Amino acid sequence: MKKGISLLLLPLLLTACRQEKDPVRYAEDPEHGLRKTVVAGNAQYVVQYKPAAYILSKEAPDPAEAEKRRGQLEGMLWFNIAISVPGFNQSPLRYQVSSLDEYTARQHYYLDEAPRDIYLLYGNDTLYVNSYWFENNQNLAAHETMIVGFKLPEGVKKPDRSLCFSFYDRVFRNGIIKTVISKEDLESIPELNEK
Amino acid sequence: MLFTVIACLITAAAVLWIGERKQKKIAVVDAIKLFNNYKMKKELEARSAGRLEYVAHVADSLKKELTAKSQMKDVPKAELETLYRTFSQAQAGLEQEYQQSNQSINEQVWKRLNTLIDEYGKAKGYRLIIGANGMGSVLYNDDYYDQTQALTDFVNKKYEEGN
Repeated sequence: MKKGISLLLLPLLLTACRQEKDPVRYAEDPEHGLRKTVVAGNAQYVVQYKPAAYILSKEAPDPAEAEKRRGQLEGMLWFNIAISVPGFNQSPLRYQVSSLDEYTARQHYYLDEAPRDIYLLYGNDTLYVNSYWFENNQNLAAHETMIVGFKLPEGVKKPDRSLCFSFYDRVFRNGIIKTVISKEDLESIPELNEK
Repeated sequence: MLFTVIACLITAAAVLWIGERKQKKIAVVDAIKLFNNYKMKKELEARSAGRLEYVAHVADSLKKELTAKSQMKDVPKAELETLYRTFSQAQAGLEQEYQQSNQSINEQVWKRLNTLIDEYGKAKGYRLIIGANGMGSVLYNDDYYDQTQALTDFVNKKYEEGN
């Protein structure tokens, strides 16, 4: 009987261990503090911090290319900011939109102007957006995603302080969206501890 | 025997009184203090201040030019009239922009505060939160019911850390 239970528990234990090591699952689990959800007014913002291991795992580069890619990611901080309207099953760009002009203006804001309203506090440094991409889902999904990159201060390869993210969304006018990725949660990322 | 009965009655009354108080938990909050001390309001004002200062500076420069030229004898009347119109438009633009900015900040701040006040009330088990705004809705309250500081701390913590 005991053997049977042990045999049943073993796969579960192995699965749990594997999940802990999977950088994507680890980072996307809200309990690990790298994925924060902020609800403001009608909109919901999911801020996902993407450590290097997360990006490498998502991109799955050729092993020969992986080291080169890892080097490129050093000194940078990457985030995904997914915007959606809970209960609205279309792109948030279409939410309560009154005309094509308004829709175009919203799209224009997220394509070109939003980076000016985003910054990151890193210790005493204010980091402004270094790289930005708006991933327009063309209404195929009920969310839109901004991909944002910040350059760490000179000489810093990986973050060792809390990251205070700030975004003033001028489309939905819900005020300033803030969230914190704590130093403790950054230090707990398995990839960082392996070194 | 009589002593026991009285003691029981007093205990029962005390239990009922405490229960009643628990059921009718009320808080009073100074709405103006809460609004003014909300960090997001201060940050939104700081963001719009730059633009408003620029518009005010333009209007001020036009006013100075108008004052200077109106004191000169050889400036044509038509030029002064054009300058006056430009100044009036700049002044009106400044007032409009100031009003729009204020209105926008008010809307955004209350949109966030209302949700957070709800959350605070539910978390603390309040049945009623009264917003005192200096307009006579609350004529007097002592510190017992005043939750202004606690609520301000709560909304600011939620804002900084993300709710």
